[in-house]
Order: sequence, then structure tokens, then C-alpha cells
Amino acid sequence: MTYFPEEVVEHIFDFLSSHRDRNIVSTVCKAWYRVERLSRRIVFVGNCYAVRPGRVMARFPGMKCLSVKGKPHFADFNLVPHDWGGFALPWIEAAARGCPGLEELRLKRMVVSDESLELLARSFPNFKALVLVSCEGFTTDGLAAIATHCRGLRELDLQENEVEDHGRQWLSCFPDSCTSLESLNFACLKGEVNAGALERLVARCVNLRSLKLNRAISVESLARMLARTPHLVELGTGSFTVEHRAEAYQRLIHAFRKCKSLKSLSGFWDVAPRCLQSIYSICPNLTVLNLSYAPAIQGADLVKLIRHCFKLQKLWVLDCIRDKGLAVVASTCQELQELRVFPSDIYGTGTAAVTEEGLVAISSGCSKLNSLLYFCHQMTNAALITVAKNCPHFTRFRLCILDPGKPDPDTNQPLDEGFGAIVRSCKDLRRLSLSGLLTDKVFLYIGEYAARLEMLSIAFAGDSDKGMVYVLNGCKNLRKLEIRDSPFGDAALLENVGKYETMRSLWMSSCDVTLGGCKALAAKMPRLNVEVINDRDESDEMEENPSDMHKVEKMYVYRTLAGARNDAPEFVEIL
Amino acid sequence: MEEKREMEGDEGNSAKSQVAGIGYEETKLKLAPPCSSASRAGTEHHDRKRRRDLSVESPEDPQNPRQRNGGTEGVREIEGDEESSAESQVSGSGYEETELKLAPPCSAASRAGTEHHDRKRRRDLSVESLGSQASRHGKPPAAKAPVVGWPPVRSYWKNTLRSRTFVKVAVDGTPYLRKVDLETYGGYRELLTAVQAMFSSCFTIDNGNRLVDLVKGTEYLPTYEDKDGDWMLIGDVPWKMFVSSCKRLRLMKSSEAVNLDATSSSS
Repeated sequence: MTYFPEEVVEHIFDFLSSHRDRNIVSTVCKAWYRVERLSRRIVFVGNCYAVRPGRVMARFPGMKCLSVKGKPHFADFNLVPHDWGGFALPWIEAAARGCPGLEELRLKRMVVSDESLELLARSFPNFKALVLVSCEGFTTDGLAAIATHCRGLRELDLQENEVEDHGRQWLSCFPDSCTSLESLNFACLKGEVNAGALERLVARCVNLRSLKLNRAISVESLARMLARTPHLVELGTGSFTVEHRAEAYQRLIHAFRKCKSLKSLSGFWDVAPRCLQSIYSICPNLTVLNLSYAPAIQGADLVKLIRHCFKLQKLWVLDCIRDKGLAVVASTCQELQELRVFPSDIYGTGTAAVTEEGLVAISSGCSKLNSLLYFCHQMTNAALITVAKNCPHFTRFRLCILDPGKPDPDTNQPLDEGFGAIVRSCKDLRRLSLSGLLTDKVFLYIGEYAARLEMLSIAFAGDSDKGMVYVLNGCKNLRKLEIRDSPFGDAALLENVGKYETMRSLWMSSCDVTLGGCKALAAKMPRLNVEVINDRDESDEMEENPSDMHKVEKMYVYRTLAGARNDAPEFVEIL
Repeated sequence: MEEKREMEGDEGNSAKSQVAGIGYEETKLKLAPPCSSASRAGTEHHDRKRRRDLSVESPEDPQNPRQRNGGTEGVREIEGDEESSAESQVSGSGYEETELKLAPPCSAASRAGTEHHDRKRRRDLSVESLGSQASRHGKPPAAKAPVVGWPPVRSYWKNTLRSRTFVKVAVDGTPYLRKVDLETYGGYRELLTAVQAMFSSCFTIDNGNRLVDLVKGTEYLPTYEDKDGDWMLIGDVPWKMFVSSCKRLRLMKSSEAVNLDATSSSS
């Protein structure tokens, strides 16, 4: 192969679409390393602290698209203190210096300041797409900078970020000459937006295919916009408060009828059940439907809607759909691949919304199901065994039984056998989240059968160190392991230290790992960062030199080429 | 050893034991003898199950700074891991099983410096849910106190969905009711505007903030039913107080309201 001209090798590499494949070919020989790195256009950094930004830019000078992830996944659930880290600025600065041809930036769970957005806006003349997911630290001023300076911007996609509202003018900062937008998502913004400016922007961006509005946009405004964007493929509605006899509502129905390309719907805040009828004309074309922000729609109305959606592939819904509603989904949506059922009543006792019955119904009707996130009040082994048999194609299986450590209500047994059936049957399983009462046995099963597992989330499970060891020794493709409130200690942590260099990260909180154990790990494995994260209200009370026997509240371990990071706050100790 | 723990638990004032004092107010309960292998054998599984039991409502919780994270305090029963190797004992993971909700340490000496941290770490699984084992003491189970980060839903989503203040809105003379989420409005004017939009065919808001049916000329009075079941005129109390006490809204025709006044004043 080395006798081929570089252009040919490069051309062959073009066919490699996955990061992993490109990473592997770059290790074959120096020539291939060189060809690969100069031709790499898309770079994915799964942990922003695993490598220095400058090094990435130096290695891939031709980079066009960069994705970086920051905080560990459990940060989503408030388990990571606020100022832990994950700053975007160093990455943007390095890219501005080393890869000014950057076109796309995707950041997840990072702290993005207005300053970084301003730098971004000014540094990359060809910048086309900004996607921020679960980020924080910026305001609408930062967005104004993006709107103002990014000529030719194609995509601005803000998903579930915490954005401080500094006024509605940011959207007006898109110049009149901006006609390039194809995707605009500002659903997570809480504040008002200049509706007139938005309507004009939407009207002149003839290639707009994805538009997701925030709650402040009225139905009237939506109707006007839809009339100008008949080719829209994805729509997130704004507020859906409208009197069904109002003229705006009629115009909306009419506009929906014209949107023959609409495949994806979300939003629906405040929608009155009656107004759901307005979308019946689109339902037969829908492949994606997200009703998880619509608590006002109860089961019966949901069901009426879903009966029209026979092409649905992805459905996100609240548990007020109930088991009966899921049965309707099962009989209607034969193409369903992904289902997420969220809890509508997190704190209250409420009535049992969905149970194992709903899941079993889904599994018997939707044989193509491969991705599940299911919050329920109870689950049985029998149900899981049935689901495993019906749906062997799961790649993502996340079950959350709301009561931690709850056993099978029929037999009072742990759910080891049920999850065991899942991992045995679903050979392509890449992601698994466990819940309910679980002993070490479930980990024995996981270690033995979940050969392709890459990410495992454990909460309130297991009996002893053996559980964790089964997983570490067994799952050879494991990349991310996150554990909370489980009795795994130093013995488990130190059993297979080499494993952690094959993984992206390990998170353990409220387990039995001690400071001594963490120190031992750090000493043995210099290429890991072992972070001990103390709760901030504690750090004042911490003794100067806590003993090694002291149990560690939160520990985050990750492989890194960058050494200890220098931006850690004082409550994070890097051993 | 146990007395020491009791004392620390009662010192709700010192910062350390406040943090550490999670659930140690349960000295009111009977303590089971500390860990002994004999008592553990054969009850392993059962105890594991009870590990996640709800804990008891502690009367001193409101003072506990951990309240904001864990709500009602309680102690998770900890499974003794007698089957794990000696190493885990060295590592300090010697959990004990108890009959009740207290976990006296197995060996106080080795835990001296770590005791309060351990206690702090005991999870307060005061999550209320169906079918979960209730408190054994006849006390009501801990009410609606979430564990930190459980269930695992994004706080962004939780905040967006938080609204539980839907109230029914009835307008005299219309065939069906609507529901509004009071928390989405900043004040009375916004609320009335929204209600007017919902029932736009029925009335509009005039300059004087009154709701008037332009066609028929009837005036509507916005009233609400409060927590005590009384029908009140909207607008008297501060907005936030109104939001927390309003159970339903009714827009009465003024003529009827007069009659209502007469009857309610006598009750």
C-alpha cells in the first residue's frame, strides 16, 4: 500500500466514515499517519480533557468539523458541581489559531461564554454550523455576535442549553443579506424574540428545512411563517395556546396542509388537546414526534393523534400515554425504532402511569425497536424476558424504575434475570442503563454476554466489589462506566487498572471508594487523571489532610494525554 | 459508641454534625446491635431489598442543610458485605446491616476520622413511590423528597415541565372549560389576556381591565376558588400568593356575581 501515491491512499481513506476506522489506519505506518491526518476533516473529541486543543489543531490542520464533549454524563442530573470545568474557550482559541478554515462546531455539556462565542463569530470566515447541546454560560448577547458576524451561517442549533436572556434583539442581528440558514433551533430560549425579525428571516431563507421555535412564539406568528416555508422538514412549534375557533388556528391548519415535507414535529407547549387536530393532516408523513413537553395532553388525546402516525420511527412521549396508549403505539407504529417515555410526575406518588405491560405491548408490536428510554413505576423479570425475545435488535436500552432498588413486584426477586435476558438476546447492545433491585449476578451476566457494550450506567445496584469486577473484566468494548450509590470499593477499583486506559472515563459517586484507593490508582496509572470532586459545601469542613480511609464522594477517572488540567476549581483534587 | 453517635446527631447546630447528622435523629428508634456475621447470614437478600427502603421522617430535617439536596433525611440501610474480601474492610467499606434505620459502625476506631463523612454519604432514599416498603414505625413515609439526581432526568427538562399549576377556567355561558398554567404568567393582566385569547369569541378586556362581552354588553367578573373553597374576586392579593392558592377560575357574569355575594356573605 505504501507504493500507492498519496492521493490514492487519501481517496481510499475517504471511504472510511467512522472516527474509529480513521484512528486505526493512522497507526499503521508513518506514511498513512501523515496522509490520514492531513485529510481528516471531521474530528471528534469525546472528552475535552483527554487531549490539549493545540495538539488537535496541530495534528489535523485541515479540520472542518469539530465536536467536543465536556462534562461527564451525570452532570445532567446535578451530580457534577457547577464550576467543575469543561470550558469551550480554549478550544475556540486554539481553532482560531490553528484551523481558521473551521466550518462546524459541535459542543456538548460545555461551558460556553459570550466571549468564546464572540471569538468564534470573528475567527472563522467560512463558519457554517454551530450546535450546542446541554451547554451553559452564555447569553443572548453571544448569540447576537454569531448572528451578526457569521456570514453564510447554515445552522444554529441550540438544544436544551441554559441561556441567560439579555433581550430579544439577537435575532434581529442577522443581516438582511443572510439567506443561507437551513436549520434554526432556539427552542431552549426562555425569553421573547423579535417575532417580526424572525418572520422576515424565515421568509428570506429559502433553504430552511428545520425550524424549532421557543415558547414565546405565538400561533399567529407560526401560521405566518409556515405559509412561507412549505418545504420545512422539521418543525418545533412555539406556544400552542390558541382558541380553536380563532382565525389564527384556521390559518395554521391550512398552512400545515401545505407542508407536505414535514417529517418531524416537536414543541407543543401548552397545547390544548383539541388543537392537536390541526396536525392530523401531517401525521401520516411523520417519522419523528416529540411530545415530551406537553403535559397537558392526556392519554386519550395522545392516542387519537398517534393512530394517524403509522410511519413513526421515533417517538418521545410522557408517561401519561399509559400502558393502553402504548398498546396503540404498538399496533399503529410498526416502523418504530426509538421510543422514549418520560415521567410526568417526578415527585408525587400519582397513579402508576406506565408499567411493564406497556413495554411488553410495544415489544410485541414494534419489532424494529432498537433504542429505548423508559421511565416506569415497576418492571418484572417476566416482562424483560419477553421484551428480550421480541426485540433482539436493541442497541440502546435504558430502563429507569422510579423507585431505586425496587424488586420485581410479582416475585419480589431482583431483576437480574430480566436484564440478563436483555444482554443475552441483544447482541448489538451498545448502551445499557440499569435500575431496580439488582445483585452482583446481573453484572456477571453483563460481563459475560454484553460483548459490544460501550456505555453502562449503574445506580443503587450490586452487592459487592465482584459486581464491578465482572464488568471491568468482561466487557471488552466498554468505553464509559458511570456508577452511583453502589457498594463498589477500592478492591474493585484497583482490580484491573489497565482497563481504564482502554476506556474514555469512569465515574463513581456515593460508592465505597476511598481516597487511598484513588491515590493508589493515580500512582499506578500516570496516564489517567483521577479527579476527586468534593461537594462545595463540604470543602470548608474538610480537614487539611483527610485520611486515606476517607470515602470519596465523587470520583471521575479518564485517560488523557494532556496531564492534569490547570483549570480545575479548588474543590476538585487531581491526584 | 452508639451514645457518641446519638450526641452528634443531636448537635444539630454544629456545622459538622449538621452535615453528618443525616438521619441520626432516628435515635428515637431502637437500635439493632451492630454488625455481626451471624445476624447477617441468611438475611442478606432481604436486607439488600430493604436497603432501599424509605426512611423515617426526621423532625429536625428543616434545619439540616442537606435538605436542599435530599429533602427529608433518613438513613439508607447499608448492606454488610461480609462476602467481600478483607481488602474492602480495609478500604473502609464495612457496611453493617441493621434491623432498623440506623447503622452503627462496626469498628468505631478505624472510622474515627471518617465517620462524619460516611454518615453524610448515607443516601437518603426518601423517595416516595408505589409499592415501596413503608416506614415500620407507623409514621407516614417520607413525603416527596427526591434523592439528588434521581430520577435521572435533565434538570433543564424538569424545569421546563415543572408546571403543575394547571387550573380549570370556566366562563359562564360557554359549553366547555379550559385549563391554564398559572405559573407561565407574570401577573393578573397577562392571565386575563390569555384567558381572553382562549375565549375570544366571548369577551374582550376593556380599558378598565374588566372583561366585557362586546356583543351582548354583559360584563364578566373574574373570580377564583381558593384553597379554602371560597370564591374570591381576582386581583386582591399579590400575584404569587394567588398562584399558590388558586384552585380554579370562573368568569362569572356580573349579574350572577351580585347574587353570589349575597349568599356567600351569609355562609
